[in-house]
Amino acid sequence: MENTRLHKSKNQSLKLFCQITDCDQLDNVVYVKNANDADIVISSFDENHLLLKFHKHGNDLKILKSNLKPHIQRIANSQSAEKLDFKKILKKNTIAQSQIFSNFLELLRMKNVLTFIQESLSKNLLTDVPHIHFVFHKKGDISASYAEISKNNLKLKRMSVEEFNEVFNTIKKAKQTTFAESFLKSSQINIVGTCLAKAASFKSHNLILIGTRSEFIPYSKNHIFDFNLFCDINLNLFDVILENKDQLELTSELEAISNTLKEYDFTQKKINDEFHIKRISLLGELLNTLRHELSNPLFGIQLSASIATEELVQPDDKEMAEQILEAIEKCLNILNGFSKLYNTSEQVQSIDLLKLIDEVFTLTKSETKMIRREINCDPSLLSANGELMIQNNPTSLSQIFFNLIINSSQAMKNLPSGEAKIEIKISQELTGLRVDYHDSGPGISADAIETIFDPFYTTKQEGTGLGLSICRSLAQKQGGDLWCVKSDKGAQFVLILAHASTVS
Amino acid sequence: MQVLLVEDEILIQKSLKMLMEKRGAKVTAVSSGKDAIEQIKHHDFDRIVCDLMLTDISGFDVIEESKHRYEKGEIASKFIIITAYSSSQVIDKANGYGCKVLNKPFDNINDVIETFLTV
Repeated sequence: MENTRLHKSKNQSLKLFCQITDCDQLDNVVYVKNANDADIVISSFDENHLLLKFHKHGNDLKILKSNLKPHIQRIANSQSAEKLDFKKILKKNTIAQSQIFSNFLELLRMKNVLTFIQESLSKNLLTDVPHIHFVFHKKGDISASYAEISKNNLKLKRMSVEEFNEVFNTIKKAKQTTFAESFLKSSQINIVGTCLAKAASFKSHNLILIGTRSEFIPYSKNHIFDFNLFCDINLNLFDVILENKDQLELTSELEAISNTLKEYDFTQKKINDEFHIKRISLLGELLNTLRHELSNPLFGIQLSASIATEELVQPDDKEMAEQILEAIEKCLNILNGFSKLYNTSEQVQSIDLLKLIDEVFTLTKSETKMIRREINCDPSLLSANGELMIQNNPTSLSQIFFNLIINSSQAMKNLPSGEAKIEIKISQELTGLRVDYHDSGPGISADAIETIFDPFYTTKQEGTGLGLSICRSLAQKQGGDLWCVKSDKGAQFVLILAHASTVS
Repeated sequence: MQVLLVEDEILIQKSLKMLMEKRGAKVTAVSSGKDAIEQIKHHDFDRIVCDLMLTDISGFDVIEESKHRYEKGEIASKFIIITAYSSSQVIDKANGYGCKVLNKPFDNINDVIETFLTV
């Protein structure tokens, strides 16, 4: 009897909900509502059934009806608000921030933390974590809500505050993110194998997020990093969303969250820069070793081949020895090209800019052999023997050109042969030496001109999005600058090398 | 002229030996530092051309060991260090002994052979 009545009331509440709202648009929407007099969770409903709904006080539908309206009103408001307040904040975005905002808008659209998590799982945002256990306790409430979420399944239960506190404190006190299943033994949270867990306390909620893949194999650093990132960004938002505040409050809280996350953004960038620099210097060491190890035996071959060219009498033999010599010349030239490119010293040296650009092209030969290049230099800058001597850090400079050239070659990959072209123009300016770099690729759209220098900005599937950001900082470190110019055809960059001209 | 050539890269060793012999020098070639020390103990050389990075010990160790036999001035005039790993430390150390350092690969092999054979 009781069950039938409850079932009937569910159907009625759904109908009511659908009547007030536009059902087509809110298909499959999950709606969480927390009012003083009733606690209602309607989860993932469609026209025929309501998956979940519960009454804290077992109240009847009349209360439901009276309390629904303002919330529906809020949904309507939030849609217009997205276009106003949030967009504005979004403009000054950094990486973590923009991630928050996109998550936040998503959350607003979905109106429920649980569906958001479910959506994240089906989008594989969390590597190798197919199941999430999410427990939230509104401070002051006598019980907590516990959701077991996987791609296709969502189960909700209640959990006593005592049980919640025990799990919460265990996770919170622990310094690690990975846990064995045993720590949850006394709780109703059911987990097989190792899991990743994070507990966080916010203004109005205490939250626990546990990720698991039901395996005993420990998680890799990357998995843990992904999980932590997911938690750091989203748990804040969940607190705000679960609170169900009005738009103005939400906006201000959002701003507060994004401010605290700025710091996170910064450390993140720093870590990545460090990794990049480490990789580059490791590459440098490798190249140096390689150069040394190869140049000695090559020199031996060169010497003996040159003796052979003189000693051999048969024209065929002589020719072959000569060809060996030519091949060795090539190898030695390539090896010597490495020498300046990955010099680990930070020192400013006297270098020939034209030769340096040439070396970078040699190093990127496999990418650039189909590209025509045109290098023009103000003749007054050249020394008598055609060199363009400048004082600069050759490592930084090579890296800047390396990045620009690789970017161009990738952008021009699909151009018909003969159309790919890189133009470099060097001239003297008041502030220093100006290098105009121009390719004939598809170019950079006007609104991307600044963002391409943001860390992590990338249009490539495999890219880190750090290339140009590092290039700019390298240029600035040398007292110069690097920026992108609006151009009708191809990508155009300007590189300034400050106080560069010291023609010797 | 008696020359001791210490070089472990066999093609370099053979070529240098050939080139010096063509100019009339008598060349003893060895590949290891130990063999070099042994040679220095028992024979008298006008010139010792020694690679720095040998498989067993360094060229500087060979010089150290030769101190029993040669005066400081003799070491400076007899030894020529050849190396692919030239650095400021290497050059400083060689300067300390007063001997020449030539970088491999050599730019002009004929000039180098000329240097080897001019005492």
